[in-house]
Amino acid sequence: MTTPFTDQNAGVKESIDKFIVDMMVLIGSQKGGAGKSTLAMLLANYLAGNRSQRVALLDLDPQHAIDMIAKKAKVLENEPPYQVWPVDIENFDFVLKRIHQLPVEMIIVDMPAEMINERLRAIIQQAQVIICPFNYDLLTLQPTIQYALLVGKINTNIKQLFIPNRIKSNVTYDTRTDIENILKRLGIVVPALADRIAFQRINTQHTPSTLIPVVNPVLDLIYECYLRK
Amino acid sequence: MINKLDQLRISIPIRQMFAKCYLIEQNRICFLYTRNEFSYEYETAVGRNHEVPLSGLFVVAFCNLPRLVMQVYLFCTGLEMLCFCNLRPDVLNNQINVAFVALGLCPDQQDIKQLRTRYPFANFNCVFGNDLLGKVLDCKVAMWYHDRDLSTLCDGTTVIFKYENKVIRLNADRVSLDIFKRTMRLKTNIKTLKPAGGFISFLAKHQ
Repeated sequence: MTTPFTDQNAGVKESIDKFIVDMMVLIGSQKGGAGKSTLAMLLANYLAGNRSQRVALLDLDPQHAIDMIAKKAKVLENEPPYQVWPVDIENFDFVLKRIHQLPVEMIIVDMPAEMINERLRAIIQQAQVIICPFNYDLLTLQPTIQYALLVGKINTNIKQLFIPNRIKSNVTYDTRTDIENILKRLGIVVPALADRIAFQRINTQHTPSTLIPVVNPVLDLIYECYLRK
Repeated sequence: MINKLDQLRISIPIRQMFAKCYLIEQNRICFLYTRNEFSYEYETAVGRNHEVPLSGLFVVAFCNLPRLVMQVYLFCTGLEMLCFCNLRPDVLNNQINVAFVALGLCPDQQDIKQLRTRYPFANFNCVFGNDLLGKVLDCKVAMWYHDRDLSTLCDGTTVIFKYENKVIRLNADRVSLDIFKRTMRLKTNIKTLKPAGGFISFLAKHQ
């Protein structure tokens, strides 16, 4: 017969085991202004809203832009669909342990726009998927390739998805096929996200309806093929 | 690294006009928000980093007699205030009559109540974001100005406004103070100012 004390411990252990996170998805790029934070919010909104996933969004970018939007979103008084955690790289492990004690199924990490260092290396090793937004210009290509090569070396099991971001429908990109062919050797190139002014208006509680037809088909595909267990 | 005002190309006359209201130290610009007599918070901006308090008041008035102030412009951040004045220098034509107030990211009813008492003869102008959050804040400030509390909820596609027993639902993409006023039958002279060209804020227009 077990004592009440042991029973209590067993309950705690069970609850921790129950809340093992299914997946960690990184949104990363070496280049600033690629659209990482926007994409992280879009994905979090989609997973929480359309797929009823329990999401935690870790804002690792030193600007903490997502955290600022989440704070602004407090003007809407309902319970936010997911929690945003502004995190400094030094505290990442501590926050991750805390999240592992919560009922979270999916962790999305908005990575800082910088070269991969030791601390980022440790984060990449723990992730299952990395999504890298890029544009069809040669300036973006080199850092994207460098970043992808390093990520592939650090974590050989990680799925690397490249997402052409803010693509203008009225522009012909001469470099499109060449760039896609190079990136296909390193990972998977998913369909492009077309440029819309409403991307600026995303917040942690709402994705503007004009973006839904642009964004959801791409996110449906990503979820069904690469995120769904 | 250049300071934020250089980065945003804020004009020299505007800098001179607001020079006493902010501090620049090692390229970090700093605005002081007061919460009460004893409590302060800072808005700081350096490089691409920008930190803003949740609430508090950062007030810029060029006249010591609040009763002379006829126009009050409300912002979420001090940087937004400078960008707005840079793009709309006409609002500074009669400096005695204007006051500029940054309220932080998530203002509360008490701040508006306090401002209304301080500036009893002023018209209030909301210069918040040109997005859902900014527009919901416009509606809240309008209600707070008339000493009414307003609760706002969003279910992803609809925003639900609750005031006492009255509940109105607006499509999240169509929320605006104008529609809210008409639906709520609220009579107010509070105005909103949004940047032209689809920009989310006057700060974004400057970047």
